[in-house]
Parts: sequence; structure tokens; C-alpha cells
Amino acid sequence: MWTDGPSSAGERLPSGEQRASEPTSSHHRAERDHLRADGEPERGGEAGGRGPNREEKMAFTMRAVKVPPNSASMEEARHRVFDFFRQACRSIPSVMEIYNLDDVVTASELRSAISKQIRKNQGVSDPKVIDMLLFNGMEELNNITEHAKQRHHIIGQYVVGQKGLVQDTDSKDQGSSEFLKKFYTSNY
Amino acid sequence: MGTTRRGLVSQRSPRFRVFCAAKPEMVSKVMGIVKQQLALSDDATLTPESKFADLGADSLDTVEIVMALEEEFKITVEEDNAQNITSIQEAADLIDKLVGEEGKAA
Repeated sequence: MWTDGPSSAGERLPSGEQRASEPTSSHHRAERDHLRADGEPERGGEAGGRGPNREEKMAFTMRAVKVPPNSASMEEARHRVFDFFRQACRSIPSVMEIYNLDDVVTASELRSAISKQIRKNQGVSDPKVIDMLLFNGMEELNNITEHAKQRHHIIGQYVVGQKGLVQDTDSKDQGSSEFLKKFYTSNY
Repeated sequence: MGTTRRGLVSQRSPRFRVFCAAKPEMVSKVMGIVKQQLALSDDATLTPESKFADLGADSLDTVEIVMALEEEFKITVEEDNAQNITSIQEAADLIDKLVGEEGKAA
């Protein structure tokens, strides 16, 4: 859900984020939809292939993923990123309730996980690429909010650090000794 | 409630008008959130006029601070309002206004 943001040449931030967990199929879908450049509701992307009994979810997904085809400039892309970020942050309380994350993480930690993901793509300068990354991010956000994911997905992707250890989310000086830290990284 | 407060203040010396725009404890709460968000040390000097950009925040940080304030004070900041927030005092003023409005509506 955490996505990406556009980066802007002279100013600070917004960055786009390519979530590593995105499957390639959605990537292609995003490209295709992006190139179609029409504003129809069917642009809901992943809604296309679902069966008729998923129509409610289709509607939900389509509603939330409506993104105008192209950002005219970096400024507009920045705006989109911030809007996306705000939308994601506003959905944090419901996400925490859906997945029962209250014991594991706080809302501000989730917020910084989101912004960390956005910052990963800071260096992107092409508004179209940013749009694509935003689309991916919106898709992820929708998946999460409509409970298409499960708790372990959320915890693994956004709560826990990259190496899979909970200690990683804090500063690296905590926890084990120097020897153990070196041991975890390699044999030498 | 906010309007009556300002109405009373204007009869006093105009100097006080600025202070009554945001209560001190609200400003210090905002400062605490900013410090936590930007990971500043506790002894970093934070005045109400200090701008987020001067403290090392980029635009995403600013948005994140606004979201943290939204969550803390249970308000919803409109986007055009959010664009204008560049310093701690402005944030505290906006929160004050929104909390006052919600108090009236509720």
C-alpha cells in the first residue's frame, strides 16, 4: 500500500516506490492501463479479470484506483503522491483493526514504513514512471484495505525490517553483540 | 468558543492576540510530534517559529507531520490548508482552529 511518490528536481521529496512484492502481472497491467489513457471506470486495472461474484470488490477497487492517465508535470505528480500518502495514512486505523495489529505495531510506525517506501523511489524524475508507481501503490493499498491480504503479509512487509528480524526496525546498535551481528551477515 | 475567546482578547492589548491563537501546551505537543518525526535530539532548540524545512524536513516529512497531528488531535486537515503549514506555530494555529470548529459542531 505504501507507494511511491514522484520526486522533484529542485525540491524535497516525494519519491516513488516500487514495492518489491509487486507481482509482475500487475506491473504489466499497470503499464497497459497507463498507456490506454482513458478515464473510464474499467481502468480499475486488476478488476478486469475477476468473476461476476466479485463485483462488489470490483466496484470498491475501481472506485479507489481511479487515477487520471498522466501527470502533466512533476508538480502534479508530487501532489498525487501526497494525496496518496494522506489516503494511506487515513486508512491506517482501519487496517490496524482489520488485521489486529494493535499489539504488534503503532500507527506512527506504519506511517514511517509507508514514507520509507515512498522515499525509496525518491530519485525518479519521469512523471509517467511516477504515475505507474503510484498506481501500483494504490493497488496495494486497496488490497490491504479490502482484506485481500493476510496478517502475516502485512507484518512481514511493513512491520518487520528487511532482514526479517524485528530488531532491524530499531537502530542497529540494539540487541546482539558485534560478533553475532557479523555472524548473521556472513560467515566471517 | 474560539470566537468569544478572540473577542475578549481584542479588548486587551493587541500583543496578546498572537498568544491566544494557540495554547502553549498545544504548541509543545506539536513540538514533541515534530521532534519525534524528524528524529531530533531532545536538546535541539525548537521555537514556535522554526520552519520544518530548517529542521531538516523535506516535503514528505511535512506531510507526515501533518498526518501525525491529524491522528493526535483527531482532526482532518484539508489539502489546501495543509499546503500552507510550514512552521510549528502555523500548525498549532490550524489545529486550534479545527479543534474549535469541531467543538462547536459537536
